[in-house]
Amino acid sequence: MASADPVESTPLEASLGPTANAVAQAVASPPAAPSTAALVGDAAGARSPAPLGATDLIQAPASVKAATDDFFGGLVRRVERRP
Amino acid sequence: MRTITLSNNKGGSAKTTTTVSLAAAFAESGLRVLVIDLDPQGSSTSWLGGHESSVGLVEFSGGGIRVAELVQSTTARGVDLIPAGPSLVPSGEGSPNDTGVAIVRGLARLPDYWDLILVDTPPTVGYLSLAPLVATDHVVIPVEAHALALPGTASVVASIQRAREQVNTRVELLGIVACRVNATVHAREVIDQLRAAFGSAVLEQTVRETIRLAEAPALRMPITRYAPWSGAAQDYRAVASELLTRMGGTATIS
Repeated sequence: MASADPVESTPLEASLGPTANAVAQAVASPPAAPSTAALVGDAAGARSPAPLGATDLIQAPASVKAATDDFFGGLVRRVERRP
Repeated sequence: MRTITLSNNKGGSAKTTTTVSLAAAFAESGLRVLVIDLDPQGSSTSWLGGHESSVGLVEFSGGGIRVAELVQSTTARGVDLIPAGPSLVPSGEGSPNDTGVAIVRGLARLPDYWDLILVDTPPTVGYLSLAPLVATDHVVIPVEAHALALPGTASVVASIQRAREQVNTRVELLGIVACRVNATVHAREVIDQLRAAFGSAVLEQTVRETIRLAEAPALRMPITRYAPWSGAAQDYRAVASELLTRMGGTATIS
């Protein structure tokens, strides 16, 4: 006669211990879902989601203009300094 | 001899793909073409079967180096190459702007041997992308058909305007080429926005997205040789024809 498998005979909850208890508690009392008002509030606090448009296409960042002027300006000054 | 600089500050905009593909398409029509790889990553160099060299445009600018030492042959018939090299990135006491000046001088020293020079630039706003604007005749802006690619176009246009005002009165925007265009509503909307902002500067011809263009550099061949009858090869031939027309040329590429 085969003896009972000690592993199979161990209750699942007993093998998991505290983890099983935490899972059981979470299932019994899930965190409250955020209200619609809260979700709308989050969205309002975020940056405007305006899509990229024509304005973005024709407005170069100031940093680009500055870097360009710096390079070309330096070149012009070099030429002007030549004897 | 005309010089065309391929420029876009945004990475992944198909600058190298467009440089290599257009060079091969121009050469197919019988033009003598030189590609200058100013991107230290050397992608054009690798794609065209070249190799990084310690002799580059920076060294050439100082004199004492023959053109034959500078220029390499490529896997594209009729296309020569000045490869990327370590001197594109200054080391020691050299400043980036000194390197930029050397590039301008190097471009000015090139002999009037080629019909077209195409300059591939890195995706940054710096001396390697700005120096060619001092010596170039035209600028072509490849743009990926993707919303995030749009602002980069404005940056290049601003740089061209500033170059024309300050250092090179003849430089002009030859065209904006929409690349990696797929059959999505988004791609169509991006192209519509480009046309709304830049009008006729946007070429009629666009370049479709295809795996063939991703495979071609692995075999170090331009698309016109790797997959000569593919849609992308035909697209780039059509783009080359449109650009030649805009430059006042009469050649057609088929």
